Amino acid sequence: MIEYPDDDVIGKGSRRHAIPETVLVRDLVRVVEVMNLERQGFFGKESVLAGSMALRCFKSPRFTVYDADFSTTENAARRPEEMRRMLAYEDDDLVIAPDPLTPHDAHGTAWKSEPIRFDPVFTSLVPNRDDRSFKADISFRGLVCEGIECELLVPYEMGLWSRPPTVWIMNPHEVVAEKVLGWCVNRLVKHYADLAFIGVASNPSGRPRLIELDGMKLREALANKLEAMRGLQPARYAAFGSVDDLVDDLDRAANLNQAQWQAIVYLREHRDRFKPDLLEGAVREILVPMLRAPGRA
Amino acid sequence: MAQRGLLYRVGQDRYVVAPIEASALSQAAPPELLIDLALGSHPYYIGFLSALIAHRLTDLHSASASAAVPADVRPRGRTSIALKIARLSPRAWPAPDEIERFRVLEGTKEFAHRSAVERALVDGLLRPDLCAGFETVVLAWGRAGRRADVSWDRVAQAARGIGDATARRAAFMLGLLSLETIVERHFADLEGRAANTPLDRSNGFNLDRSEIERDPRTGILLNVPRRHLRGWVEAGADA
Repeated sequence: MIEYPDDDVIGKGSRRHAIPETVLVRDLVRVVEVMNLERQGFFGKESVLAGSMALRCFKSPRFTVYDADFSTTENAARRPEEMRRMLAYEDDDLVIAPDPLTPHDAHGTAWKSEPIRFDPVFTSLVPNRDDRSFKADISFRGLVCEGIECELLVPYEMGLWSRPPTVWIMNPHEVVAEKVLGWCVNRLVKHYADLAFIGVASNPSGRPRLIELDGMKLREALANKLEAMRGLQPARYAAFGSVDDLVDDLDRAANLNQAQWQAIVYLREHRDRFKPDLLEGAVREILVPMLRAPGRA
Repeated sequence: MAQRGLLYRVGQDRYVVAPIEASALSQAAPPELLIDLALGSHPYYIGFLSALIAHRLTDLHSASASAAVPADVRPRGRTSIALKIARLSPRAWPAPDEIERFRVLEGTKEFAHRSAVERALVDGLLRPDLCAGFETVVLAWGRAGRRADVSWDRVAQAARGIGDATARRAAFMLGLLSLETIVERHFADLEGRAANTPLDRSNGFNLDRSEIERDPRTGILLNVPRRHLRGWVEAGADA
């Protein structure tokens, strides 16, 4: 599936990016899992890689380590047992064994497999069983934009492949919609940090421009996502009756405190660049104007 | 050997000799074993963010480990381990059942000590600064709220054992998780008027006094916006 790196290469990557070896190995296993699903035809316009692994395809520097997120339309939803079979994988160097999927919410629109245990025979750097697991979240809540196809990127050089494989990932307009809801409703700093990265990467005056966003499409995606979530969790989303309510909230000072900020893990070489001031500027000065209704300042 | 990356100091008069193919201390031994070697001559436990990670109460990872020792213990000498240490008063030291002994490496007889899941939750209220901040702590409580292996009675007992302020914080958090029965069972005697205890000891939000709401039942001063708390608990439960 990939050229598995040896312990020396993993150790060097770990030190270069200030990521523990066990965490780096888990990330490699998640990459193999994505490629495993890709080879079985899981991905397409209606069935995508989501979350931070998808954002990494746009060179997001934020590093997360435990879960792999997938999202599909209702049409593309698979039965839990079928999904579990697809998640299972084995080659000479790695075995991935998922637990049965369990419902993540009362509506049965999101499922998770936890733990997905793995046995990384290719390395001796993960001796503890507790470190050999990750989680897959699969949402069948529906996509509001078609996925896009792009190269699966990883943020380190380990010679995993001669050419990166291609996968379908969540459309960045929909990613913005999910992250806006995640920040406005749950106040999780990781969502704000991701929005800021998307702001920076889509800045019309930025070079290179990594993400192309369209303001009208952004509002449409956000409106559709809000409507869907208000249907599923009306109490939680009661404070937000419209897209403008969300955009107004996003435009307020984020008040990121130091401890929250330090819990966000960036790859070492980006740590000095992505500071709270940059994040807030990117969200309020780049994304918010794009999300505003035409003619409304 | 030290220059070649094969010998590491992990405590006073304690060294780890790494295998020849190792290029870093982390490749020589699991961090829990290194902590045990560094601190094991006195009572200690691995806790705070390290325990939240170990108990899967957060998805964060950390390049450093955190542990607690009794207040009168001062680990001597430099070590090669990135370790944050909290010194706890005798009152705050965990009861025996709040610490678990676990095997650090399969197939060996090497053990280390770690806070049990209930104590790890309470320690988050005691030292949020060692748990990556209050957002991480509340997310952990939200996540624990969905787990069947967490005894909320033991959480309440651990909090009461530490002292009044931690008990009030725990009572407030249990209320936030709608665990009213536990609050009634363990904290019915709390008088809200008798205290002004900030919820987040690290005061991460640094709110203006006029913005701080007071919880009448526990006497907790909400120095974290209530909306954030609600969002974090819900997000934790979703995780």
